[in-house]
Amino acid sequence: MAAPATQQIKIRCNDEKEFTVDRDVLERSVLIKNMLEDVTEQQDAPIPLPNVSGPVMAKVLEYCTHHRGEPLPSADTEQSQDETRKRTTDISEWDQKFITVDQEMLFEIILAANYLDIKSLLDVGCKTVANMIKGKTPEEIRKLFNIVNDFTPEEEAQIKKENEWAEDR
Amino acid sequence: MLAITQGPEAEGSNTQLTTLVMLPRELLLEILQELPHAELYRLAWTCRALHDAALTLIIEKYCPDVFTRGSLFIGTHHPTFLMPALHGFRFVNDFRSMTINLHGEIYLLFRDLRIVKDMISRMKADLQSFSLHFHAPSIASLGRGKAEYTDLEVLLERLREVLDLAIEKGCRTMSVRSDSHHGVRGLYTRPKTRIRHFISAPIPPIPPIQPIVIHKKESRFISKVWAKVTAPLRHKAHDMPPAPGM
Repeated sequence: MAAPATQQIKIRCNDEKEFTVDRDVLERSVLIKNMLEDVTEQQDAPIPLPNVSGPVMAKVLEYCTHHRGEPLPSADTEQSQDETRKRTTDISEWDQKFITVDQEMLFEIILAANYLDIKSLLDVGCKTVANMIKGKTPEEIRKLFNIVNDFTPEEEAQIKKENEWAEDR
Repeated sequence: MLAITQGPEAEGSNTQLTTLVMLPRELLLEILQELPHAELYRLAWTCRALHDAALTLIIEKYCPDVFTRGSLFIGTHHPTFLMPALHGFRFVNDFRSMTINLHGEIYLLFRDLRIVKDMISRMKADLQSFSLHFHAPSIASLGRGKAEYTDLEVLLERLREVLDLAIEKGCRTMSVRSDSHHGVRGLYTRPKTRIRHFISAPIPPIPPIQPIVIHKKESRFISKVWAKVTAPLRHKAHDMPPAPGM
């Protein structure tokens, strides 16, 4: 069952949208890679991906196609995790352009990358959100992410007090 | 591990837009761990879900034992160390053991004792072990700052309140230590190495219930403090009935 590089795989998203994709592109997703390895017989039925919608999958596939052929990051080396954390703002130009989407798409991509287990895409998404948060006041963060302040007045007073303590020295 | 509220997550609801606070908790943590802790504090102001996530990360970083061992170990050489603990107590109140290092100028001890008292008051009544490590505060700071924050007698009173409260919460092993090595200059003369040592030191297992132990060292300030504090405590700890026939 040695798969030729051109092998085409079908996937079906939760909105019935189907994609036919080169196997090596799809294998950027560890989830799908493992699925394909588990199934030895040739299969015509599309792989169902109940947690991803068509538009999001199209975006994810765009990413996977661009990065096809790159070595997959070894998932369980602690060191690589530390290194990625250091390069917080380090997102390649292409990735940056790719991830410049509206917020909902951004979070959908993060969810999909998590579900499909595409670590590098998840990193790009997380760093992008982190960069959005950086340097903003709480009020600006609320506005940016449409967050409702759900603290009770007492809690807010408490937090305020604690922050004063923090600035005490 | 942590009984923290999950925030208004609406999983599976397709009618609502996906937003930051709707991400599953582990993804939220993944995102936030990219941020330095000053940013996390700012984020903690925004809403409950982010508050919980941000403080979870801060606590994991600075007080990791909070989650793994059911004990709290805090040094206050950086004031932000007390805050996550305080927040943590809002959600996690089943600590059995609490170790706190206090140092700084006297007016800061007032503040720190207030926070510690607040923490203890939030705990369930099964605090077993409470350990307070006083680094001799700078006597030079006496007389500086607001008048009410420089009075040694008042400080003693506050300290007594804290210890009383710990006993009220069921504490039967109490250790109060002072650090005489710094002399009157307080922690500022030989600070870092010792502090790191304390921070990294493993928490000893909770010993069996025993009367309060007060370690007293020679610092003049501290011995003055303990002389006044220990007498009523010892009495309470042994829970001595009045002598018969009196």
